[in-house]
Amino acid sequence: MATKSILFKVALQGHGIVNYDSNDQKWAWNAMVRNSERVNHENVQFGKHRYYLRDKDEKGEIYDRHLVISADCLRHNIFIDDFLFQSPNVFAHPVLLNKMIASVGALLRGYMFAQEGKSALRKKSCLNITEAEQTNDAISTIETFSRSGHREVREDENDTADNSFFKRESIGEITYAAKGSVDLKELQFVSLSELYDRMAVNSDDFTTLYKPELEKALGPIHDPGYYVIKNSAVQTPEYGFILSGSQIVFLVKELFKRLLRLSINKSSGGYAEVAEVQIKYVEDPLKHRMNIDADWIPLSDEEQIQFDPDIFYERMDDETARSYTKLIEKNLADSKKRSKERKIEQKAERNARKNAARAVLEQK
Amino acid sequence: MKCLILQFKGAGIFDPRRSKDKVCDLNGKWKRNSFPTIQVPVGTLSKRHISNLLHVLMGERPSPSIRASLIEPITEIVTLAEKAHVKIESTKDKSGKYIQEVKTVRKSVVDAWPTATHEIKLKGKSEYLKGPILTWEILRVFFDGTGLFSEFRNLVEGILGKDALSNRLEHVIERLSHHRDETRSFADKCLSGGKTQFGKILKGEKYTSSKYFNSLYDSRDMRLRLTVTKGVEKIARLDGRIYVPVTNEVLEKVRRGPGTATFLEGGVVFIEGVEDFSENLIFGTQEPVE
Repeated sequence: MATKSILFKVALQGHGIVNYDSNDQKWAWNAMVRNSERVNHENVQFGKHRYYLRDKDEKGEIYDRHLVISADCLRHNIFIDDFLFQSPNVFAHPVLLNKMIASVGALLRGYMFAQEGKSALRKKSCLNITEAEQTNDAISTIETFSRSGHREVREDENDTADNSFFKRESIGEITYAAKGSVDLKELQFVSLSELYDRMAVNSDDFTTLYKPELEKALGPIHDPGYYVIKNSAVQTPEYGFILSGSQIVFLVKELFKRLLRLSINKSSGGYAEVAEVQIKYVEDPLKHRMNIDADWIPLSDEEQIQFDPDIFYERMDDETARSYTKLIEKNLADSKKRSKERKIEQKAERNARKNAARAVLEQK
Repeated sequence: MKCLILQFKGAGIFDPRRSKDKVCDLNGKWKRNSFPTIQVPVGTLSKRHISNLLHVLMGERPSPSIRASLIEPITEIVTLAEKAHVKIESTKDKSGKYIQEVKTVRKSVVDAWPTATHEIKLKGKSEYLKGPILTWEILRVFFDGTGLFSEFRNLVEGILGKDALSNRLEHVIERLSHHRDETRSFADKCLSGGKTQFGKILKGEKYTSSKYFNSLYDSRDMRLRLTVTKGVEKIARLDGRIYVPVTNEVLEKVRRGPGTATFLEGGVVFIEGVEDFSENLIFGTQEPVE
């Protein structure tokens, strides 16, 4: 059977905290955990936590506190070499924009470029990952640190010292676990149409700007056409192109290459890096599940990955697709027309109400 | 009847009272306080959330909950979502609300001008300006195609000497503020040539700190549009299970789907199993809301 998605489990190990939260966490810190140092200061850095109810006694609930690395932090660091930053200004330069969205990193991570007055470009990521949650029994504490450096001092303030004290949560050796999946269906299709609200590439730029860049990374790609989801109840065609099986395998290898090399480093001294990755090929979603221990494969090198991806989309012949498209365009135009008419009616009603109110005032 | 058990983890839900910036409002046409939001009580989820999740698991396209779209949800799947049961296992605080955390979010490009302030001294008086630092490169782009950039450089060289050109532009503007008589004609030229913002800075006209620099960046030239499209927002992370009573036909459809899906903001859903439907199985669950 063909593979529909890939499940994975990741174990991380590290030292110190790599993902901090806001100062507001002090309320949870003080209220949820007993015997911990109470914190009432404003300049405190807390890690991200999850709390679990362990037991109850005469004093109330007893909670366990686990440190976590958020999914956003993991995702940011997995693709840190691909995307240094994402700026809406890239939208202004078609060549730069297409170079960016035709890269391996963009196809894997997904992107969204939205701009007033223009159609948004978006591609959903094939990578779904949960937060990494602490798995060992290490206990964090609040420590006092000092910082030195120039401070902007207001004229009415007397304090001109250039050093300050602050508190920060800290921890020693720590291990985490995260899990996730790679959605091959999401990866397979690149939309060139606005029909389903997910245009990934402007079709006018496809041949001249996008395709040459993508082919540098993936080799020859299929010509665009009209596609429908296989076995779908909705037979409305969408203009776009699909990636071949070998291209999908290459992209998945690139994704796991990044995951295997994931290392999060903080200037404050904390780090976390991947210790172990296990994968499971999902051919039958009801049988190959995350919570079943069978079929997991330890992954030490991305070259171990071999699978035959399922084909989720089938091509529709252009003539049928165009007839559907014409019908959709007509319906869309009708709906816009109806909406416009409704607005005019509403405006007329408002004016009538205003005139009536004015007439009553004049009578008075 | 069978019951499909789905486990979700890390599904983020924003507090609708706090969340103001929405990516769906690209044209800035909505009034901020009248954004459509989904009010979901603690302990359950919206039917639309579950319906969209089931659409994805069955290989169909989800339908946007808030934005207008051509995609209509499939009625049979919506009916399944209405019959689902939800059990959220995330810990609540003493006030009965889920513990929130801070998350970096993308926000609408509209109203995304940088609000950080920095100091500039005009005629020796400190002014705190909103907006990013004004550099020579930004000025070059601003004056692009007008010849005013080289004229300004000549002016600076004439007044402050050649060495001044290697200084920071903001420092140069500070020093020029002491020579307003000599810069007046150039400032007038800027004002008449459509470069009003810079002309006003040189003339030191009545100063409204946020307007000068922000209007400079609110240019039609995209290269100058420096916006901060990142912000922070509070979010609650939900973990739990969804129990969906299904027929064998539905299970067959799920079997052909991808077997995984995203859920709410950054959440992931896995199929946990299929069991015979019973009242015991759904004990302690809640029904989804509209």
